[in-house]
Amino acid sequence: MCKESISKESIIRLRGLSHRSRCWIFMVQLFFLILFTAVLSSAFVNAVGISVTKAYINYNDVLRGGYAEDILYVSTDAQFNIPISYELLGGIKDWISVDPDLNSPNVTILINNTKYQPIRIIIKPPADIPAGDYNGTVRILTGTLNKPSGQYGSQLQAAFMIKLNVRVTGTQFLSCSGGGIIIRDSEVGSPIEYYMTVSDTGNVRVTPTATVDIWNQDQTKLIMTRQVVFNNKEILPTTNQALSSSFSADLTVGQYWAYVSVAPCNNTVLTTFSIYEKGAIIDSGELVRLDNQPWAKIGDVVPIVAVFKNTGQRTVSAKFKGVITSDNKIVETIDSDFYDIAPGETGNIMVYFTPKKFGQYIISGRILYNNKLSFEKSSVLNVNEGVEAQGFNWAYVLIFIVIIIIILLLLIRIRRKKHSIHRL
Amino acid sequence: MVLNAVKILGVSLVLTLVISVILLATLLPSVIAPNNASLNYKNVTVRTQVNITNSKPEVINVTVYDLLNSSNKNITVIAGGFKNVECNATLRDWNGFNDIVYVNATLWNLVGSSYVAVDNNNTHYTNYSCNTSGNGGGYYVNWICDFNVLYYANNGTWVCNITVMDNQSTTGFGNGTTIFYPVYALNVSDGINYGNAAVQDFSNNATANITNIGNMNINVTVEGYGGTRGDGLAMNCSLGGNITINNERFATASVDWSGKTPLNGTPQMLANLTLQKQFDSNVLSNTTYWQLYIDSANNPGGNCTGYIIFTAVTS
Repeated sequence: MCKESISKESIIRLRGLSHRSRCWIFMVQLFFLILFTAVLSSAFVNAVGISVTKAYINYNDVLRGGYAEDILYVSTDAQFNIPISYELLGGIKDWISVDPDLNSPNVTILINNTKYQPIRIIIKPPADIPAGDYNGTVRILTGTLNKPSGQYGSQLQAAFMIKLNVRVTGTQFLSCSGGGIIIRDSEVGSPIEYYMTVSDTGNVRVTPTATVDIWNQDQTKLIMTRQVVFNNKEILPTTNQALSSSFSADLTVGQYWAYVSVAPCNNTVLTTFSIYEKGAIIDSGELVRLDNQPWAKIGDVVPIVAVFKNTGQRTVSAKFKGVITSDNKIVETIDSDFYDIAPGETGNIMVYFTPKKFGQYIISGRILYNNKLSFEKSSVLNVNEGVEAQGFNWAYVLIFIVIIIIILLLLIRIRRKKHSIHRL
Repeated sequence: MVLNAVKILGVSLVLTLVISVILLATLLPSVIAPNNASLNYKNVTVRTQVNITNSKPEVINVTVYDLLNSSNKNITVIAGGFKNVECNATLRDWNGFNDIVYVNATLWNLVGSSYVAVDNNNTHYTNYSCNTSGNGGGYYVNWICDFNVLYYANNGTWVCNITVMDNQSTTGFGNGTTIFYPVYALNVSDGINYGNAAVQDFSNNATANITNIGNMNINVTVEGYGGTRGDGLAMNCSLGGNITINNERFATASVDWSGKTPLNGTPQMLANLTLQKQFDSNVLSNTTYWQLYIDSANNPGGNCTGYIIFTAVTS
């Protein structure tokens, strides 16, 4: 092996030495090479980066005896686990709490380059504190970032000072919003599941409820109204919470539309859901958009593509139904052929339209798939070139009749003149 | 004879009158705008007509958010890395959403730059290839423009300008704003190694590098302890004994022992050292210089280790 490892040049230089000597020299060279590499690499320090996303946090209009929170994130690029802890400083440290409790003796919170740590800093001012501005500090500390070798060495830790400013008020205000509202498809006889997220942006806690008006598929008839409650769950100021509940509704198979009003936030959302036979596979889909060229000439055959995505679990047979209007008058109705679209696929349903007049045409419609209707979408077609077909004009007819009458009268007069000349 | 002439004249007059009335009633409205006078003759409605061939595209709304979490309307850059920021523009064209053919976006720092400035990773980014979100309907459509924003992008208010062009090359523009949060981030080197030294001797200078990898200038404090916070020690030793904290010193320049500041158990600011945020791809680090005196007073023996905390504070 030693013989094989020695290059030709080395052999030339070491010519004259015995094979064993040459081998030893090579091994020594190799040892020093490895040693040099190790020393060199130890000279390059392996640094560790730590960051926090906030150094100042302002809590505005926190109610006396109230609650406010904010979240910051601590992250690192280190490939190994680094423990983190905290210290509270300043006059308001008794109001401050940290979640999760980084100082818990039972759990060590660790971060690494694949795991950052959200930290919730919570403020609870006492009920009898005067209104005004208060300051405090949270210090986030890491554990040791390294272990130096050698006889004497210091391990390094990083820390961040986060300054808190709390404005305490005695005035209540209510502000919230409800979003992410989903009413799940259900089977006949089963309760209907309802989901939403409420964000409390005021300084008092809210207990949200929802009123659901259920309409038929055409949205022409109100079927029923249901009040949804969430076990009197309270949303704390400055927080978001996902809520869910269910309600019973004696609905037959079909698609329904729901106007949802969230109290006390006063926002309304329209959504849809379906009731299926027991055990039925649920179909769902989305009319993504209507595509057509924006400009056309009179007489052009304009393709209109309804882009439909099948988001359900089985193939659906889909068609595009819509109308084309101009000046609020229906110019043409659209009723395409059925197209089969596989689950997860996006299909293009094409129809054609030939404009006969100048103007702007609004193309609007929905996809009918397995007896369900999608949300409506629309597009616009502008027609500004070409020759418009002339309509029937009664004025020309009248002029023509008048001319005929005049000619007839003149002929009668000429004939009478001739007749009188003959008599003379 | 005279009677016949009078008859013919009368018939001709009647016919002429009828024809005139018919012509006036049918042809005149299409030639002259009808001036419909109201009863009191004060209000007059005039028919006007204009043939609109194209409408300019408009930017209705621009929202800026973190691409990975669109509910984050304000941006937190990633320490030492880049953040995907998205401008989402709601556009309107009265010729239909599909009349819009091109959108570009400029994202710039309101204080440190302007719309017309050249690109600069600190303050100005441009995207010439925005894409439609694909969900247009009627006159409205959304286009999205993404930016890879580097960690040292200035904090503060940023403006996203969207410029939109339609098939006829007419343009419109609109702005949205966002806040880039300050990010405080520190990169520290891998420990301080004093090597070997004899008792009652000074170690060689050791260094610790600290680098700002956020978008804010920061100051740094240092403090130390041997085993537990506030123990007044620089190091504890494996064979018993220790080194008291004032035997460990630091400086921000390469000076001798007497020029260095003794470490203690409470935070001390690294004097004359503000870690500036980075400004370009040439990352600047700051070096701190450390030295240890192996005092025989507490009988240090074996390997001795301690702890130093570098704390970032806002400058």
